[in-house]
Amino acid sequence: MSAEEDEADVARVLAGDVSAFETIVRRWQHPLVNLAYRFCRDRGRAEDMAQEAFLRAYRSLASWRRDAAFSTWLFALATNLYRSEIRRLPPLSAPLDEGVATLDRRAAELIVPIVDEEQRDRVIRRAVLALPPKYRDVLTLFYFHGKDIAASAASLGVPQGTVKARLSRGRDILRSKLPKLLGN
Amino acid sequence: MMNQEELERALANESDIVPSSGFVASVMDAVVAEATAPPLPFPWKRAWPFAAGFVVLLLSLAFGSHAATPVPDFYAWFKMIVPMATGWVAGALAMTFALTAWSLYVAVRLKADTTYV
Repeated sequence: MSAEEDEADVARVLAGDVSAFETIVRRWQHPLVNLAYRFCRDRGRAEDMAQEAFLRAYRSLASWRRDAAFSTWLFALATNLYRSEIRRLPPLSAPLDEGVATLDRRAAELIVPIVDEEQRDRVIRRAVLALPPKYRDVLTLFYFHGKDIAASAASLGVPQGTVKARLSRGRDILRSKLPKLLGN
Repeated sequence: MMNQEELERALANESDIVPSSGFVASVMDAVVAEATAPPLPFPWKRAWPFAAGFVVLLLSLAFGSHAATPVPDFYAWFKMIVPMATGWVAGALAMTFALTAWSLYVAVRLKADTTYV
């Protein structure tokens, strides 16, 4: 995925060639759908959210200033949208915003006998959704971006130090609640 | 407690999902619909009384006899409007507080009704 290709396609779209946007969608569909999936854990909803993100990107394409990469702009736009979508309609297993107390309460409800490692990992990833949003968002973005602090900070629009602090606190909360969640 | 490495591995080793085959087409349908949609028509039916009033005002300013018009007494006008405005502002504030309290009540109720898995 090259920045030059993005720039050329955006220029074509802005010049009136709507079909050039298809190239952008093809190039970025995979990451955008996957990022949405990590926020909602629902394949159908992830595609709906990603579609809305592309539509918003199309509408505000002219507002992309070339001082940041197109991908940075696109991820920030999508992240904003996904966060507000999740706030509007929380995913199945995520609370609205009740913080750690909710995680405690729900941990008791979510106890399942862990059969294998894959199942345990799934429970752990799903538990991220139950974290307070500021930790949930950072953890989601950090692992989505392949543990890249700078990319996560750019997507969230917060300083890198904030990402590091929230990451550490989020991991601590998660680790302290997991024994209960995993039925250990 | 689960150690850091185990947690890292669980969170980092997530396999990706593949968008469905119709995803690009679906997005492009929405984009093309957006691009070809006619712009919202200007609401002339609602705007014309205001437009007409504005034109009349302009005409009266342009051609009205200014000589006959007395200089407005802004102080008298201010003295007259303040008691009226005070009552109106108090009413508006009361309504704002009532609406805010009601909105908070509804939001809390909705939140309490949300069921978690």
